[in-house]
Amino acid sequence: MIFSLIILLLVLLIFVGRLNSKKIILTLLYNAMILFSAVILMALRVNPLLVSYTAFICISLLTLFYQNGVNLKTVSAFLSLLIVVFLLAFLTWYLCVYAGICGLNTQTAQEDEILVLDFHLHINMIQVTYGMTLIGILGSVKDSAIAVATGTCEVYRNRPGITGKELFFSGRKIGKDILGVTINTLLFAGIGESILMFQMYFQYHYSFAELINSKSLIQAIVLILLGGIGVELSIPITAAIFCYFCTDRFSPLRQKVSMFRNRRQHLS
Amino acid sequence: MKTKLNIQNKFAIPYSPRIVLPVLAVLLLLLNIMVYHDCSLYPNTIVRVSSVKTVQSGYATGDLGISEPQYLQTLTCAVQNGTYKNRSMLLTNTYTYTHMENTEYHEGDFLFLKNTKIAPDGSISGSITDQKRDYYLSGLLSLLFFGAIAAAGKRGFSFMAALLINAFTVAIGFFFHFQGVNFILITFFFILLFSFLSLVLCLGWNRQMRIVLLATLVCISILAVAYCLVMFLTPRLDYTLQDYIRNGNIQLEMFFTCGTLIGSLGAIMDVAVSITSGVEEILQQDPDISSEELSRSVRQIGHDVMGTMINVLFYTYMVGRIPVCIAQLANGMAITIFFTYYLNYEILRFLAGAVGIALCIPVSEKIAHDFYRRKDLLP
Repeated sequence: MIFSLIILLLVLLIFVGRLNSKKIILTLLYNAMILFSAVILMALRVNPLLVSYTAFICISLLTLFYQNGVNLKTVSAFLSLLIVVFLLAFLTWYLCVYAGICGLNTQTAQEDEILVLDFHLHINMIQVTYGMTLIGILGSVKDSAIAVATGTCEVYRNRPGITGKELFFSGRKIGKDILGVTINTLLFAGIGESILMFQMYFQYHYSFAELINSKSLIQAIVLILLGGIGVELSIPITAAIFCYFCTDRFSPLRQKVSMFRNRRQHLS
Repeated sequence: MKTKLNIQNKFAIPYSPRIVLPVLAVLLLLLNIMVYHDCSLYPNTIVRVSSVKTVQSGYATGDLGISEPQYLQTLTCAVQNGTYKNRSMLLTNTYTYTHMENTEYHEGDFLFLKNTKIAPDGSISGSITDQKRDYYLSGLLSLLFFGAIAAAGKRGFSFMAALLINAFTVAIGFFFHFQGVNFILITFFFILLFSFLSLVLCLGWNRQMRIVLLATLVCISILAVAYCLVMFLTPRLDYTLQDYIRNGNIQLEMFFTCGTLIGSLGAIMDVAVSITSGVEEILQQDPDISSEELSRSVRQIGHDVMGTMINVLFYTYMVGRIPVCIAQLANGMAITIFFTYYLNYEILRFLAGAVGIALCIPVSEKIAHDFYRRKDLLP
């Protein structure tokens, strides 16, 4: 079934994107490889924080610069991504340590396939959960950052004389359109993933108090909430960084970036 | 143009971030303080950890022969509710370096107890069942709520309303399911309600919203048919290895399929919104553009959206299971078994979402194109 779906996906991607879809497929493949090698390295007891940070940087460099090219848009998206994730990292660490979102919850701990496992592994799962949550946030933050940067760039190109302040506000206006649907995407992915959990909670008449205090609920929705907060933070930050680059103060950097882009285009 | 804007502003609800945001911040802060101090509402005994003393008690070794440090915590706690309120007690807790089956507690944590007893000498004893986490949940939700309104102003309220109403819809749906309604029918209503409510609240009731709604529903139907066809034509999968299964009699395949379709809905909506606004923008700038030209520029937008959305879905689905995956791999599970039996649910969910995204681009392009060209087709 997986193979048929993969073939269906490939056929559709090639039909929709024609030759451009090669990049999408390759990016996805590289992403899967990075994530999978990160998992294997962590299972081999390499320091989880080191592995996650490296994977994080690799994934963001790859998805931004390989998929969308090196230009002002992707550079400002990358910078805002780093700032947002740096801010959220403290919150995530706090949640991982104090709210106990790592490890097994009372329900999964009773599963047959979990019971046979030996958990004396000498791998710090708090660090693993922390790193993986950051990588999960990365996806949605990057999506909104690149959308805001692209939209602001369009505005800048159509009205070259625009002031920095106006440009910043149009960037935030574009962000408003993205915010609602991005939170929806995360929400529905979360609901779809935890249908069986809700089924269990309702069938066995867990009380509302048990539901809102349970580890399984917070594990299921922490990515939705943190991802949503990340998207909200990334909208003004991306717009501000892009505007900062567009003012004359930063024109040397801008020239450098466009020179780099031109050289790349010559090469390819 | 300017007068029109002024009239609109006069009738709009006044919104000033300088007033709304501080008021909202104070309200949310009050709410969180209330949630933090709501122990008396719980029937179970709750204690607050006031000081922790941790010592390494030795090394623990499992079946694999790996030894790791084991810690013993002595927690001094104050009872927060019930008959023993305000008395202090001592609890012990052990945890290992891996933190997988056990939890490390910190000063300030609230813990639920069971079997609380008072000994003849006046000391209270009990065993820890779980940690109180409602204030983390309300804190995160408040941050999300505040951020939405700070970033999107008045529309932030509608986004958050959509979030809460959708969560409430799930609860109502399950209520009806346990009244005997078939879950497939409920999923059908879920999809209708979710897409209608989120689009109305995010875009407002206008023509663009109706076109997006139509495109979303057409896409999700095509995806459902395609997914079910693949499911019936290929060998059946084993669904029993999923998490959260207590009752072997529930129809796992159906629940999984319904969950997968609901999971793809958000991504499909996202792509449909991007494509229709792209088509609208292009047609506004150049109403006489040829169909081939339009299709080419829409594909370009689609290519940009598709790549990032597919990656978002990939990470959202894969990341949650990784700690268990690492434990399984470290326990010596073969990689092939791991892929075919444990990771396949996440991969299937992701693939269904990705197929939905790829489907959505031509379908919503066709629908948006037809309906923007011919105004008589849809009111």
